[in-house]
Amino acid sequence: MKNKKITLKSTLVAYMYLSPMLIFTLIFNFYPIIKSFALSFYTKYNFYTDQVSAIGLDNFKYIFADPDFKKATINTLIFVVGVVPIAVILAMILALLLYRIKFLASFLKTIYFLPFVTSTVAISLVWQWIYNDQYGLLNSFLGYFNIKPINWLNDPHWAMFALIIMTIWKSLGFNIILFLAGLSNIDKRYDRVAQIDGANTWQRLRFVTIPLLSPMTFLITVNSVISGFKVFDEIYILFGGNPGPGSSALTLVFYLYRAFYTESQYGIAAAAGVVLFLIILAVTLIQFWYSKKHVHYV
Amino acid sequence: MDVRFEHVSLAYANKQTNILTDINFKIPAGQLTCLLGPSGCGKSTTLNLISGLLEPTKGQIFFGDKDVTRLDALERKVGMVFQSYALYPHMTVLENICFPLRMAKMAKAEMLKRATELAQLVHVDAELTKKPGELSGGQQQRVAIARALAKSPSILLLDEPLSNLDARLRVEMRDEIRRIQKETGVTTIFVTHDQDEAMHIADQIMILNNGTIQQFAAPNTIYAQPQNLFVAKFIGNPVINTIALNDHHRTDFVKLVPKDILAKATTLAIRAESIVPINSVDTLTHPFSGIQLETYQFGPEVTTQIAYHGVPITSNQFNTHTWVNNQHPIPFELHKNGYFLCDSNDNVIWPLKEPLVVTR
Repeated sequence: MKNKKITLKSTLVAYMYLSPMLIFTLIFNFYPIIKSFALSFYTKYNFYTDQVSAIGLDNFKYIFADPDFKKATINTLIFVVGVVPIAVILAMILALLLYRIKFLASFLKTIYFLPFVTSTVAISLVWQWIYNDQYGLLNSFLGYFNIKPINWLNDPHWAMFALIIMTIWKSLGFNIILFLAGLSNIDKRYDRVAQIDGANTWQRLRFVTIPLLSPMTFLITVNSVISGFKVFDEIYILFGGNPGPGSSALTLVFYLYRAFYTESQYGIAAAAGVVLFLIILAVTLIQFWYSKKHVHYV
Repeated sequence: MDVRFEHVSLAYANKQTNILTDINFKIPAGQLTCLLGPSGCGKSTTLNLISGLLEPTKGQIFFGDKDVTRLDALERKVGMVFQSYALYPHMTVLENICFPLRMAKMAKAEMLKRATELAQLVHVDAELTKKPGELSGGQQQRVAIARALAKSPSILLLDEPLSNLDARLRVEMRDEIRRIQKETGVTTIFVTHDQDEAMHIADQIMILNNGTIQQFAAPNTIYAQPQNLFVAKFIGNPVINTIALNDHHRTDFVKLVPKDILAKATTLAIRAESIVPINSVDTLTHPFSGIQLETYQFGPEVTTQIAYHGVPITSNQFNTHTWVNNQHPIPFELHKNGYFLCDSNDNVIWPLKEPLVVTR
C-alpha cells in the first residue's frame, strides 16, 4: 500500500514490527558501545558496584605513554599491512584461476572454503603443529632446501610472520567465494567484445575484468582491513594464550583483552578500544574516499 | 571485402542435428546485407561463423580470396555490434571508442583524432566524456557502432542491433545505420528477425529457416518473387493470405493459370494489398467474389475480411465507405503482382519467373 498516508498509527505499527530486533541491537550492541566510550573516561571506577569516583583523560594519557600500547599499535599496523594486500591479491588470483577451470572447480572451491567453516581454534592448533620447530611440517619441508629449522612460534623475529601466513591462508576461502560471486556478476559479453577489440588475455584482465570487479575488491579490502585490526583469536590460540614471544605478536585487541581480563584495568581497556575504533574509522573513511575515484559501480 | 561460404555446416558436438546444413553464399563487398529469419533459424550462428567466434564443422569461409576458416575474430579483423551494446561500463564514450585502437598500439594523437572523427560520424561527439550508463539506448548503440568501426574492420557485423530500442528510435537508428554504412562503405552484415527492418535497411536479404537459406536477393525481389511459401509468409505486413486450394478456387483460376501448373498447385497465397476493388489499375481482368465478414479501421489503415469460397482472407485496399454491411457479397480483383501458387513442397510455381541466379 504505497499510497497509504503516513500516520502516527502506521509509524507505531512499523516500530512494533521492528522492535524485537531493535531492542536486541540496542541492548547488546548500542548500549555497550556507549558504555565503553563512557568507561574510557572513568579514571577511578569500581566495576562491581558501578561506582564512578573520578573521570578524566588519564586513561588515554596512560596508554599513550605505555610502550606496550605503542608496540601493540605498530604490531597491528604491521599485521594489517602484511595480511590485507596479499590476502586480497592472492584470493583474486585464485578466484580468477578457479573461474576459468571447469574440471574439479566445485571440488576445489570446497577445499578453499573449508578454512572458513572450520573453527579458528582447530586451525590454530593445526598450524601450531605445522610451525613446530622440531616436528613441524614447514621446517621439514624447508629442510629439503637445506634451510635450517626456524623456531616459528618462539622466535620474536618470526612470530608475526607466522601469524600473518596463517591469517592469509585462513582468509582465502571466504574472499575467494566473494571474488567468484563478483566475477560471475560480470557480463561475459565484455570479455568477448574485448577479444574482438584486440585485447589479449592479460589486457582483458587488466582493462576489463579487474575494473569491473572493483566493487567486490573494495568490499573485500574494507572487510579484511577491519577484521585485520580486530585480530585476536588466532594469536591467543597459536601462542597458547600469550601475545607471542616477547610480546612480538601483541596487537591492540590483545592489549585490550589483557588490560580487561588479566589486569582488571577497565578504563584502560576501554580507552584502547576507543583508539582502535578511531583508527578503524579513519582507515575506512580513507578507503571510501579512495574508492570514489577508483571503484566502478555499474 | 566479400564473404563467401562454401558448403558450410555446423553441428554441436553433443547433438546429432545440424544447426546449419551445407550453406553456400557470397555476400558482396561494400553493401548492407541482412540475415533474416525467425529465432533459431541459424542467422546468429551464421553471423558468429563470419565473425570467427564459431568454427564450422565442415566447409570453408573466405573473405575475398583469403581462406579465413581457421582464423579467430581478431585475425579476421571484424567489427561487431551486439544487441546489448556491451559498452565497457567503466570507461567513458571516448575511452570506449579508443579501446580497439589502444589495443592496436596506435599513437595517442592519431587515436584521439580517429575517435573524434568516428564520434562525429555517429553523432555522439557531444557525449565523449560521459559513461555509457548516462546515455540513452540509441546513443549507446551509436557508440558501439563507432567502437566497432574504430579499427577499420574488414566487415562490420551487427547482431540484432535495434532489438533493445523502442519502436520510434528503432526507425531512427535503422536509417542512421544505413547512412553510416553508405558513408563508410564498409561491408555490413546485419542480423534481425524483423522483416520490416530488413526491408528498409538492406541492399539484399538472406532469409534463413531451419539452418538453410530460403532465398537470397534484393528486398523488392524477395517481396515480389518469393521463392517459397515460407518467404512469402515471412515478408510483408499484414501476413500474406494463404488458401488451401479447393475445387471452387481452382475453377476461378482456370483461365489465368496453365492447366499443368494449376494441377500441381496446392496453396494459393495472396498479399492483402493485391486484393483490390473492381476496376482498379493493373489487375487481372477477372472478377472474383466473396462475402464480406468484418471491416476494421486502425487510423489510416482499413482491413476487410472476406470469405473467399469459405476461406477467410484479408484485404487492406477497400475503404470503409465501400461496404458497410457485413455478410454482403463483395466482388474483388487480384493485382497482377502479389499472388502466388505453391506446390505440395511449398515452392512457388506461379507466376513463372526467371530462374533464380544463385550468387557464387
